[in-house]
Amino acid sequence: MTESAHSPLDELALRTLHGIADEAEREALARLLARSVESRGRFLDHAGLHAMLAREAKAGTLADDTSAFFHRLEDSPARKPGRLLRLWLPAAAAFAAACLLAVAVLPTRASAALDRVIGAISETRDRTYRIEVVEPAPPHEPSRPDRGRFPPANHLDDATLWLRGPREFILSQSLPNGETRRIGSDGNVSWSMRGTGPVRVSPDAERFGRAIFARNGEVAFLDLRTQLEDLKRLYQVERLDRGSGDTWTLVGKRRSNDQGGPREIELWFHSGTGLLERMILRHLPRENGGPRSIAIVLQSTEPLPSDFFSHQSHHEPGRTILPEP
Amino acid sequence: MRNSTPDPQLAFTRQFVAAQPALHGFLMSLVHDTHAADDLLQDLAERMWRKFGEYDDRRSFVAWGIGFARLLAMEWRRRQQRLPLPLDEETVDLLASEAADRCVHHDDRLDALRDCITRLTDRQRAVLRMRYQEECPVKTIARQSNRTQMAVYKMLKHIHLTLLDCISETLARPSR
Repeated sequence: MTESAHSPLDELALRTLHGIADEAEREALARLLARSVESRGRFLDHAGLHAMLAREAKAGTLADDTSAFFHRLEDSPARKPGRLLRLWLPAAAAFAAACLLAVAVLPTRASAALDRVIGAISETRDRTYRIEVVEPAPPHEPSRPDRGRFPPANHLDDATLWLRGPREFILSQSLPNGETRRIGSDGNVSWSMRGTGPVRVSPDAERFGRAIFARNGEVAFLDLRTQLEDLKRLYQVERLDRGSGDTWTLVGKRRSNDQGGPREIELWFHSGTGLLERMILRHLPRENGGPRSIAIVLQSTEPLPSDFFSHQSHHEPGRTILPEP
Repeated sequence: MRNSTPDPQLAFTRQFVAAQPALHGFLMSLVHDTHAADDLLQDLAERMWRKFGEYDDRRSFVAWGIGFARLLAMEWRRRQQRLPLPLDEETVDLLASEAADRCVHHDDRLDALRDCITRLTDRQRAVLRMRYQEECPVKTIARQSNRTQMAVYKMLKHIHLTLLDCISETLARPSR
């Protein structure tokens, strides 16, 4: 490997491309790139490889089973707990016991209620939600347009989200230039279009929604089913109240700062059908930029046309289609 | 000479699909964020399609697209309050010119990469898949695999350097 020849630049370039470089490291890299053509060449090697890997991964060139990674890690010898960890173990055990106790006293009706809401999300009923930014990014904190915000978080306010079951969705956003951007999936293919431009279509049903429907709790604020399953699994349900009429409210607080996702989730749902009427996600992860808190508000349950989630329903017949790998 | 294909839509689609990897790589070289590059690719398709009537088909489609891509990337950089990489305009211009020169060989590099990926271990491919297909941040991979962020980053770094070396060796082989 040529690590020794390019070591400082490799380190800075890769830390920057993987999103873990701090300000000083990014500035150091910028200085290196301004200084020499060799540095720029090496940086372009890294950036080019990064881009190729992103595309190849989406095209399925890489291994298709991440479980191999985890099995190997599980098979590897366990790391010896350090002193700090040993000190933390009793505290962690006490915390776990407290959590278990909380789960034990958590009214089973809260759990049952959540199951009903998750079940309703999975039904093939059509739902139209509006997204409202409840609390924008603080004014002193610049938005982070440089990291993982797809779609741009600052255009989420007043966006519309249509859902049919767990797999079909369309997110429609109005952009500042007056154009509309739509990202959707009919459950078989996903697609993305902006204004009157070509439509990108991928055989991967999650391709264009992946960053929105991010797993692992990083930015999963629009994937209602995952969000609700996380609420059941990773949040402490603190309140379950009967609201007005048949509407119930439920408030869950995140158990650990390490698990990602919004710090607090508040739901309003129909007690009989489990239909989610409103959900507020408070203190969203800041590393992805965008608003601090958003609300998803039910607008309608009117049935949509059967082909509504296919891209053809959202553009004129002759529109250029660009297939993705 | 302007583009005079009988079915311009089909011609555009074919050429854009073939040119996409190179154009995406070029955008990535200037914006340093895969989501931003992906987003700009959508804008690029729209702009190129609007101007396709003016495309001279004796010219390389990729080279033609790079002109638009360069402008889009510069516009994007100007709009950002905070950039992934705070470069001055002169350095960005140099990077853009150097990245454009490399686009000519993009397909060769991509073929070499595909070959090199087959030589990675299952574990290396799995970690790449999590990072690039699942789009998991390093922090998330670390959390899920019960490793430190640094350990995961080191693994990714090792894979990157291995792949870069492998690509260089493959391209340098006289049999190609």
